[in-house]
Amino acid sequence: MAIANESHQEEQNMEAHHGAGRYWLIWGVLLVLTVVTVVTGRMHLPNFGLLLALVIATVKGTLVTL
Amino acid sequence: MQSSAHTADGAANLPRLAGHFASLEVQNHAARLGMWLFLATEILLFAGLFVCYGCYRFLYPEAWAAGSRSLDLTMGTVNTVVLITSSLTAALAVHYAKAGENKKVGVMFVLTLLMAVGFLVIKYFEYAHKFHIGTLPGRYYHYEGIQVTGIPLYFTVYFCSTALHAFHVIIGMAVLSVAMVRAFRKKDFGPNNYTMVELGSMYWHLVDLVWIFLFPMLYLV
Repeated sequence: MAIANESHQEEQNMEAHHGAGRYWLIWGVLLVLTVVTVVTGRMHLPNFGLLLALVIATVKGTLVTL
Repeated sequence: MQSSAHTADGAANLPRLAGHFASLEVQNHAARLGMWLFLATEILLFAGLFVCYGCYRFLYPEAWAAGSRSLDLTMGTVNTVVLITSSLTAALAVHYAKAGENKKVGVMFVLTLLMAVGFLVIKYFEYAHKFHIGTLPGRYYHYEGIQVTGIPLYFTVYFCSTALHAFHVIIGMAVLSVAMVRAFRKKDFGPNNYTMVELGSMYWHLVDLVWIFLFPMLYLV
């Protein structure tokens, strides 16, 4: 029974095991968003600068979690 | 109880199943759930600092702007890129652990640790400059160049948040070092045995995530 459970687990793991390309893609998007954060931050937008920075940071955080 | 999984390095994966778990699946699920709960407490810890940041920024907007402009944006940006890239190598370590490629897991963790050291070295240079000119927290602030009401509070928040984050970087380095040594020596990570790598990487992603928020809040006011 235990062996059957492990085999099932292994099959599930291998099915969920995707290519590494997704990680590189997310890394690229995170770097682009970092550049966007710096550029918009240096503009010193009067009213929504902090909000924009936090929205970008939240998007980046979501990408890291993915 | 033996698994049929084998690593690319040729060693068999033999995950340990604790007696109080019905199966490996349940054990891994419990470990992941525990890690998510721990990460939630970590986020709550930093959330307290973020609340302090919000209150004082509202009270002293000029001090926050002046303090932020005194920071080295280039160093902050480089550190952001370094941490984001270290998160990539940590994620790749999990990817290779699932495939049982233990040498690649070890190499990815070596790269992650090197970037972590790089992050701390850059942070050291930033701190050294602040200690030199006197932009220090609270009553230790003695920099003549910026004299705005509330500026010592900005540097109090700056040092508290970045030092707490750096402490987490060091803890993360210790965790990943253990996983790295295991990948090189025991070579037992594989499709059924990668929880340690996964949880260590999750912690490292938290470290990255916290910095992603700290960077614009401190450097780009």
